[in-house]
Amino acid sequence: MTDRQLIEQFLELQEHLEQVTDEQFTQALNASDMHELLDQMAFTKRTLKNQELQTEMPDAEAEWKAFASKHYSGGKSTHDHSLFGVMRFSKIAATFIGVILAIGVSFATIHMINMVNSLKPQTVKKKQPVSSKPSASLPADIVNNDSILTMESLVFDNVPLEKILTEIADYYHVEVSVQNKATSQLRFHFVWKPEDGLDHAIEKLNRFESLEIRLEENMIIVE
Amino acid sequence: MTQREIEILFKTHYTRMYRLAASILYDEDESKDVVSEVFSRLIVSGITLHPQTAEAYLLAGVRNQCRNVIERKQVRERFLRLLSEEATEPSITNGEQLRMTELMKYVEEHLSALDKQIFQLRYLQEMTCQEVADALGVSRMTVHNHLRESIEKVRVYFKSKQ
Repeated sequence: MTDRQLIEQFLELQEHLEQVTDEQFTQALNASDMHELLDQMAFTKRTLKNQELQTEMPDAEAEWKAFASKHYSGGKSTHDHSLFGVMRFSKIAATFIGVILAIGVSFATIHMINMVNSLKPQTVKKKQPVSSKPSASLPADIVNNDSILTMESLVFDNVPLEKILTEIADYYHVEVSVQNKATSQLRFHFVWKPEDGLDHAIEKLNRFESLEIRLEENMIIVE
Repeated sequence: MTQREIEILFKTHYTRMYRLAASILYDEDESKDVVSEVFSRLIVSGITLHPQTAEAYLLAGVRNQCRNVIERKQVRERFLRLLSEEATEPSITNGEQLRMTELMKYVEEHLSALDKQIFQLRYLQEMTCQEVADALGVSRMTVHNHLRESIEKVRVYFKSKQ
């Protein structure tokens, strides 16, 4: 089939698809060059559509309102309804799984260290005549595991702000000054990644609606 | 994530997510539904997104949801409306924008204004050849010939890329 015939067949199918039997349609579609043409046409259509969309600005504000009213209809109510309840539950479940995982990982690490420690004399004894390399590579593995553990994020679930801040401040060796006692007793669900740095943690905390926290020299200030 | 965090993500990434969905599904309502679905799933999953990786995660989610929408459609509709499952492959993200820019440039240079207009009405507006002919006050045969020529030209472009 020439290219022109293929294109004619494509246009014919597009225009009169209702007159084509399933068998004819499947047969035409399965031909490899038709398949290729179809992919090219789809990409061309997508390209033109994409161009057209560049000037289209969907109203994200309105879409958000519609979305929020559907998913956060409970607003700030304290009762756990529908999706809100499911969310809280899944959050708690996720935290539990996280904790169990962390325990698992640390247990495995401790276990490995123990294993390595108990194996060490043997390994050293056995391998010594051949090479010192294997025993040298073992401690390196432990160090790697350790650093992964320290880089893990910490989940505060339903913890008072003051406590969260004290933890964070201790880690970065800064002080906490609470000027708003009421705020400091609010409880939050907050995931803290120590390696992201203090500025990032404060920026993340400030995303909570009711919070205003700033960093001044060596002091975290809650306003 | 908190409602506020989700809100920020939503407002930051909505336009790009919507445009991606609409460039795959060509349909406004379906595209909006896809974006909503990506956020609903994010909320239920309880995953916390990092600002640096949020966009990639959300756009991958859009492609995934588009695939679900396309898969639910009949083969005939997919053929008629040129819905491509290929467009929902995660691997296609790489260089897609560049390939589109290149093709667009080729189209601007090689297709006449009328070629382009007919192509747009027939495929983007999804009109029949007869409807296009009526809209432009030309014969159905003219529409057909212009379409064939446009497709031939586009084929030349794709062949040069192989």
